[in-house]
Amino acid sequence: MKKSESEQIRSASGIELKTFYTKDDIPKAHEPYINTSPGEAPYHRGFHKKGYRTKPWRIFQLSGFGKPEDENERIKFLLKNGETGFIMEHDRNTADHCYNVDHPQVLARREDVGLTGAVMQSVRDTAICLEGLPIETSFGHAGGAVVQHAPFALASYWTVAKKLGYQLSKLAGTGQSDFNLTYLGCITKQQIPTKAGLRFNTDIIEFCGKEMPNWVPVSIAGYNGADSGLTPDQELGSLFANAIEYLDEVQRRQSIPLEVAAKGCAGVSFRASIHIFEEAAKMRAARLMWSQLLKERYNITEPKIANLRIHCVTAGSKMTYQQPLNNIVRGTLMGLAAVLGGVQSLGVSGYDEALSIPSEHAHQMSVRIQQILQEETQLAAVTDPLGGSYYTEALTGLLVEKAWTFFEEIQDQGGYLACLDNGWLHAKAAENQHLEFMEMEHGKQQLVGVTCAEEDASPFQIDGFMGTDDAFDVALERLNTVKRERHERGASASLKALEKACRGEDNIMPPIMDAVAAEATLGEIGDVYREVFGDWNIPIQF
Amino acid sequence: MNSKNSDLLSRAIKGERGALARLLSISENDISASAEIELSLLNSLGVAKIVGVTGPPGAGKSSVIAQLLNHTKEEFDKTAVIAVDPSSPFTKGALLGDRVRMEIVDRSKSIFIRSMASRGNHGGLARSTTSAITLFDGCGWPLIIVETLGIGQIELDIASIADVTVVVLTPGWGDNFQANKAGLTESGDIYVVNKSDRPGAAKTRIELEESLSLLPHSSTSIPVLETIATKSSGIDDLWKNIMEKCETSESNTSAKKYSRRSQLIHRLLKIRVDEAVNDCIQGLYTEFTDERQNIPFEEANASLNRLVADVAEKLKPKKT
Amino acid sequence: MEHKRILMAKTGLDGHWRGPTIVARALRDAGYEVIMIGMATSDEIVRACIDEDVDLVGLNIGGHIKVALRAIEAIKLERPDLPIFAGGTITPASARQLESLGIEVYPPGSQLADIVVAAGRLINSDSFSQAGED
Repeated sequence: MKKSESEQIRSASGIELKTFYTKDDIPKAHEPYINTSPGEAPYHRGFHKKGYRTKPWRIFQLSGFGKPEDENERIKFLLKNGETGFIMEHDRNTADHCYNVDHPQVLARREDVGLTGAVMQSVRDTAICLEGLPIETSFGHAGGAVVQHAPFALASYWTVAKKLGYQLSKLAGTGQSDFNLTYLGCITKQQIPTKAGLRFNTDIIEFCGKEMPNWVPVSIAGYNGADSGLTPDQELGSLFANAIEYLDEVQRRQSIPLEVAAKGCAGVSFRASIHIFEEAAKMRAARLMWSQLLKERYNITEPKIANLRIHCVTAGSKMTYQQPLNNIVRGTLMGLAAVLGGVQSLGVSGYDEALSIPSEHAHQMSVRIQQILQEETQLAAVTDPLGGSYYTEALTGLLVEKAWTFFEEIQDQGGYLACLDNGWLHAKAAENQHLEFMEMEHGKQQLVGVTCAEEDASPFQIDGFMGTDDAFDVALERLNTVKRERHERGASASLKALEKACRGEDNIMPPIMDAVAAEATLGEIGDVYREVFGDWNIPIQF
Repeated sequence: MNSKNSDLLSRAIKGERGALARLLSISENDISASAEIELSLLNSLGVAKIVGVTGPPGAGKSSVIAQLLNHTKEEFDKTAVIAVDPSSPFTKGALLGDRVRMEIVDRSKSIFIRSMASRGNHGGLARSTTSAITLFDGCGWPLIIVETLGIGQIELDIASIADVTVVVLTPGWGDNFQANKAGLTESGDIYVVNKSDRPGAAKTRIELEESLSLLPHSSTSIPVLETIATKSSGIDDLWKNIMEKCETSESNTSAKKYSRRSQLIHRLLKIRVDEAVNDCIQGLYTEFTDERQNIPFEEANASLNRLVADVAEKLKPKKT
Repeated sequence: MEHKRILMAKTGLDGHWRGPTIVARALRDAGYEVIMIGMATSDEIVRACIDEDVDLVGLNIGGHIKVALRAIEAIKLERPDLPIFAGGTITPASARQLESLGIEVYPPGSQLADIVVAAGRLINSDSFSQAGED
């Protein structure tokens, strides 16, 4: 559609776009960085001069549903099709809430169980899910996206790995334990308060810092802020506001060197949305800001730490319900934006994202998109291909400015945790969503297949994927079996020990490892949290 | 009262929730119908205990109530909760979100939560909150908890209605709400510093105790308690204090019944006066809207005198 | 003046709040009193329908259609006259199933204006039928 010449066009961050750019449009503060090379501070051009030539980005797709064996099968399918890492997805009903399937809230929705990930209530289930997976040679993601679930997910993965004979000190992988997801984007019915969440995450960072140098302990997900409504500059600002909560806490504890913690926090995830240049600039801005933050706040300049490693997922909320095959194009374009921004790892949403969890075909398609980008386009040949473009550098510099402003606004509100507790961030996100929706309602922003180019006759070419229908029954049976067969006194002693640790100040990971090894179940561990920490008060802001 | 409403009322008294819920809607939407219904409950009023919960926005009032609901069962077979939220002054719409915080799993039958939009009323309550209290009381609900709007103003209608008014505050409240402190600190029977695991809780409690000790009626002690509603910490103690205060305020039960009944009559009378005055003003206004620019003093004065007489006439008890 | 009340509930435990909050806000701006109950079981939804005496229920459906159908059956049992509309990630097949039960479905990509109009239409058709009974 032709836009009138006088009409203002703004990027998602509210930056007014000019019809063309010159050198004069690049912010003064950004000018000194333009002539640096990839591999040089402040790293906005990337960590390594050779970029993807020496290390292609990881093809890393979220995957999982049904029973642990269903998830196992899907992961193997993806690996066979060319995925180069794997992500375990846990059932949200049980995992995010730390409920077993016999919890009343789950019983009331038993058909939902397994629809969003596999049900893993004890270490036995995790073992089934990991059976035959290359956990030593490939980068594994243990799941545990939600804060209260992360310790269990990680401990289960590690316990299985140990049983299989792998040394934890060598194991590479990640979890997530993301505040944006837990307290902003995907609010659960019940959750430990943010203060306890901060403690959990710091405990994980500390534990990995001491025992598991190759493991990325937590992964702050700007993605979850962005897909909840935060604009790209806000996504950046809030991510670093989140990071300093962790690092300041580590600094206060003084139990591990700050550099170790900073390295642990340097594996983050962002959303790649549909405005290609702004999104690519966002990845560049993120690396620049991280090196600035570490240098100025913590006096850390070591390149291996000051260089941010980015996992990127294309924007699920940009995928449309109508004419879903169009989403293959959207996924490709958003993936392109991420790669132009120089990310280390990428997941492309399934074309059926707006309808359901990905079908096998949709999943394969996501891998194929990435393979085409990697193998056919020469995108991977040149590092930071947009570097030096007036437009891209201007956007990068402006995003950095705006993002630091938002970071400061968060500090003025009492910091990132306070902004989650008092609903300030929720209000920002809701306001943006509202505006975005209004722009679409008023025809200022078009969505192909939805607000224009609609097809009345057959808007849906596909139906959603509904997984398996025996996840609940099998999970209930396995729950009863594990409770019957385990060494009961050992399990209950381990839960007592966990409760004691939760009430005190010791790191919770060792007792969680013990509890998982003693076959204590997810719901029992959740009960300990609920008893000790209580429930987070959702700051609903309308 | 029309037959439909009287049927609803008898069903509500028998314990049918749907009928009571419908009556609550009628009382919100139709002042005169509500007045008739309420008047018919006159002789059964004054039994329920009424607990008001007020305080600034974000203090955790809903969470405190949610926790109290775990205790109410011990002494009451049923509990009603009325939660008031603001209406938008522009669209008259409202988002009522208190139920989200008040988990009611497994106990829904003994607890009746009713969300209410303020509909432009000031003072922390909706106009029909008092009517709702009358309905719950008259239909045999022994405990009624009222959550007011989150306010920072010196408008506390709840204190005049409730047996016990609980004021929920958070640490550091005094620093941020200096200007509004006076009103809130004169109306409560119990003060709660919620979220007391946050910095400044002790300071806030001490400041509160100091300002409360300066109040003229400090002969009875006003407790200041600390709670962490999200962990249900301090809630036992709060409940105990509420029950104690309820008993004190009930030292003379018949006086309480009398007071609640006379309050109802007074309120209904006021509604009738307002209606009568409005009718007459409307009549007077019509009289003057014949596009005359200047109304002579004598004429206006005569009309006003007639108006007063009209109102007085309308207020004479009607023969039924 | 009579204000119409709408209950908004999520049937699943998957906490994507985006859709329901945007819709709730639009309904509020259109003058409705919107009661949010968040994630709720069918029992909780029915209880809220009764106690809050609402004129319309909006269900955000995120997971399996059977979970939503359980809530819908329970509502119809207690308040057969109460209109229901649904939104969320609903597969086309499930949408058809809901529509066959007389429930209007607003999938992702629906216009807010259409949803607001539908709310008015559903509420009014309800009060006409009630008036007819008297």
